[in-house]
Amino acid sequence: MTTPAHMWDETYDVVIIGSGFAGLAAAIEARQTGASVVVLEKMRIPGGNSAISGGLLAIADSPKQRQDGIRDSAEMMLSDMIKAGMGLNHVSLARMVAEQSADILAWTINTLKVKYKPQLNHLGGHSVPRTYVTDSSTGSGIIQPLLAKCREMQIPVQMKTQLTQLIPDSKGRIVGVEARSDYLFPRPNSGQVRRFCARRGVVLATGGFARDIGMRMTQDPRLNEVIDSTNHMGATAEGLLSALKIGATPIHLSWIQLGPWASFYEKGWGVGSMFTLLAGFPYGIMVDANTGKRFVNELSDRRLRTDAMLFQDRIPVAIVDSEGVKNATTLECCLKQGVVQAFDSIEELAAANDMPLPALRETLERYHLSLARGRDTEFGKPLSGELKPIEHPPYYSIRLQPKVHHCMGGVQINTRAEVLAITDHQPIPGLFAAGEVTGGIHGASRLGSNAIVDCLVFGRIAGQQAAKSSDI
Amino acid sequence: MIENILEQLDERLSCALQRWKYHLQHSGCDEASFVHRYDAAKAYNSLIALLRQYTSDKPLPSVDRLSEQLQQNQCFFITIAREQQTHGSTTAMCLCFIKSLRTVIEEQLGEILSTETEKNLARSLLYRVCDSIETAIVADVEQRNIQQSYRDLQQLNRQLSREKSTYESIFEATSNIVLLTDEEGMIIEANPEAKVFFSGRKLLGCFCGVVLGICDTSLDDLLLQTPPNRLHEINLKRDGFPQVFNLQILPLDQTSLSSQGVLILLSDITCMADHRQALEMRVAERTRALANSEKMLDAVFQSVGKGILLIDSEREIVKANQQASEMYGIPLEVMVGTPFCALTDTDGCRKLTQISESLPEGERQRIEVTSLYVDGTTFPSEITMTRMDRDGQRFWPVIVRDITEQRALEDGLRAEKLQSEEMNVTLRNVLKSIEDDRRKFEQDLNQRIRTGLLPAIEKIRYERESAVQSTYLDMLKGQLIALTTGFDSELDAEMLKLSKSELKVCRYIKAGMTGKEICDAMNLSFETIQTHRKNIRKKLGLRGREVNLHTFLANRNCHMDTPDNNHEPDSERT
Repeated sequence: MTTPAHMWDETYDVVIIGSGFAGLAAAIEARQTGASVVVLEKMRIPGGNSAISGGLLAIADSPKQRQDGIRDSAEMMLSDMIKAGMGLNHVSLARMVAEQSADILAWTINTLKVKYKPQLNHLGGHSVPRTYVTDSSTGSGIIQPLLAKCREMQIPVQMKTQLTQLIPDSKGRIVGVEARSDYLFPRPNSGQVRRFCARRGVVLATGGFARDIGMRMTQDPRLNEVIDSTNHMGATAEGLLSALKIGATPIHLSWIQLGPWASFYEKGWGVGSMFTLLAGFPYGIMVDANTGKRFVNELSDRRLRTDAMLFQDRIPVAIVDSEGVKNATTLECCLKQGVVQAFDSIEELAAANDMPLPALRETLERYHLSLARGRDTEFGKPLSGELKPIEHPPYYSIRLQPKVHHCMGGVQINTRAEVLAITDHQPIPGLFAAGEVTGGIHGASRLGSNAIVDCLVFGRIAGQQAAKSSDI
Repeated sequence: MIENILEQLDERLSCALQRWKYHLQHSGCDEASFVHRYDAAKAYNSLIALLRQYTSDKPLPSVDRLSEQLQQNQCFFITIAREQQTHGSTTAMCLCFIKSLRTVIEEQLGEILSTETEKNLARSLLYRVCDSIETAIVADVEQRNIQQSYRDLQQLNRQLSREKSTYESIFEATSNIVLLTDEEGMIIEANPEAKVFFSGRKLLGCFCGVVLGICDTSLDDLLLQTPPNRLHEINLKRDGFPQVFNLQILPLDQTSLSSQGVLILLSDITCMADHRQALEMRVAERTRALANSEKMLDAVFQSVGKGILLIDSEREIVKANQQASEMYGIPLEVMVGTPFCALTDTDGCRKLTQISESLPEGERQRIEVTSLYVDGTTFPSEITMTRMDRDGQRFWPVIVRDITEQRALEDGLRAEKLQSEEMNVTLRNVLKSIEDDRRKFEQDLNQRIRTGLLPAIEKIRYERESAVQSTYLDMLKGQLIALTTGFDSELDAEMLKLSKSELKVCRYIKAGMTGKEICDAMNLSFETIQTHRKNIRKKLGLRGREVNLHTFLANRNCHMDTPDNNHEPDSERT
């Protein structure tokens, strides 16, 4: 090393930036090899988007699927990912996620003791139901065990520490990071500069930039400040930019996904998203309140749904009955907060939502006919045998608004989670990345419940690889 | 003459009545049951009276004329026919009554004594009169029916007129604009209010859609745009000022199938619309003010330096501020809906449950519990819980303070206090032991002096021989020196022999200084220093011994300060 020892304030083998799923999984794996590890988190509390997410994991060929007699495979999951991604996915990376999904599930259950609900869910774009959901219906159900494990393994997680730059040596190897301690988001230049030496590697797990309006609009000018986001306020682009500044390859940055399920009456992800995701879309219908008619396949890929909802002056409302809400885990909360409303009859629902009643009735009739036939000829929504007609009061409605949700793009990595340089497409020594900050896994559109699996799979790989990495 | 016949007829009344009764019964008109005998007699006599009346008329008047006269005179038969009709007899029955009377009289005539000519005359007169009576009765009945109908019609007319005038009043008096159209939508009626409002333009015969400014094509199109039986708001201009009206279109065929056209009602709601606008503005203002105060409240909520949580009656978190989120390491969204017990240990949970069950409204309680950070780390915290009742529901605002630092300080203070107390005890013990030592030493000293020194002095006093005295004195000196063992400054017998200068030299030597240095320090010549050294060696009994003075002095742990030790320049002493 050509940098003098006294320029570093703290020295570790592996320095990890970000305390979400990817960062904490990397920390645990790196520590497992005996390396000294530190996790740097810029916000005041750990977990970022991961902690507030819905806790949904898509697992191919899982124990529950076998129990329910659902046939699935990693190949099927991969093919679903490529279809949603419009073929833009880097197949080797996507394949890793699909193939390792079952192992990751086992890891969370055995090593972290995570608890899941007994039911499988069918999310949009997946050809079969394959989604597990944590008992608490939040990502905190996995973040909390991850943090407890870090404490057990004595991995320090430093809050309020923001990465300012990656530090390369004269040969271009990343040997450490510069960060601001006691950083108070969002005040730039708050706190004091400190330098952390990373003897073996740095893992970048800083997430996406859905809350960074400047960056959003640069990549997709339609996503201006009027459009809300489901993300936490810290989802900004500095981590990504620090990697791009030292020559990492940018991938798919303009593919920014909007989520179709969030409530119009809440800020961010809220409690309504899970309701729509688990009950509204799979077991109900979505209509335009102006016309009372459906306008898109409720289980289609997110991009198709949000395009139909956002840019057409529509007022999207999802409707589901008492049979359908059995699968909604956050119903009580939603009703309490007025995000979802209950009605004794369709007439009341139509009146409260200002919908033309005859048109709505016709829509329901046509939907029921489709159910009977087993095929939705209008919009192609997959109608499984267990779907029932919407006719059991009380009826529930939720007004929806698309919100910026996920950044499919980021830095390019290989299957060893090494970040690739744009000049020679070779790995930048000492730099690894995992999670939403990377690009290429999901292509044009990410399937719901694939993110956590992606973060955990590549987080662990990045941690293992970074701990093994050395100067030679 | 007929008079004769008539007289005879008069006389035959009772017989006639008999015969009449018989005839009535056999003709099927069962009048006998309710014809008064008196009336029957009167009828018989009246007929005869009529005959008498017209016997002198030559020629006999026509039936028409006769019946007219009878009617005019309201003859008895008409009266009785009317009476009978009110009792329920039909016209036919009345006629039957007359006819049978005629038959009776005819029969009487057959039996009367008179010439055939006179009988024939009488007969013709009878027929003529009876016909006339019958005609008159019928005509009277008809007349009366016509009169009744007329009266009924008049009444109906009056009623209609009344109603028409009621509707006319409404039509005229209402302050709403009322227009009536035909089936094509052309205005056929407009009330005065309409005429006033639309003054200056033709109403009747115009298409209503054009007048209302809605559509100018057809009534059907108009009804499509503004469906009937619903209220629509439209703007119409009066004198150039826009006014707002509620428009209602009522198709007339709703009431009656054969009616065509529509009724158009317009009610002026300009005032209400203005009020509504003012109201909307006020609501918008209030909403803004509310949003502002909410923002303020939120700002206060967030800026308070402690963690604040709001717990509901199910002990779940309803609201939390940023500080609380940071304290527990859990995002706000995840905290909302979580049971508060998840943030503390079992003991803490128990305490909090106890408080929530027993705390009266508006009261506050402060306790210390162990709280859990997101990764499982525990930290001591102070919880202040208040109970607040709102809309029949209970809420508990909770303030959380991380007292880790406070606890550390408290522990530190406690430890220090403990230490001080121990130190105190130790010091006291040390003092005591020092006291004890001192006392013991005093006792020792006393004893030595008493047992050794004082007797020795007495012995010396009484001793004459100087040699023995000298020995005793030496012994005394030795004992006195022995007394000083243990003192800091040990008196060295030998060192006492040295002079002040020699002691100084010793000090320098013990300090490790070289000869040269000592010369400089004492400002003496080297030879002088050497002389001193020689003398020192002699006095300390070191002559002839190969001993380094420095080492010797160092080993000798003696205190070399002379009583008058000071920084004056040294003076030579021998």
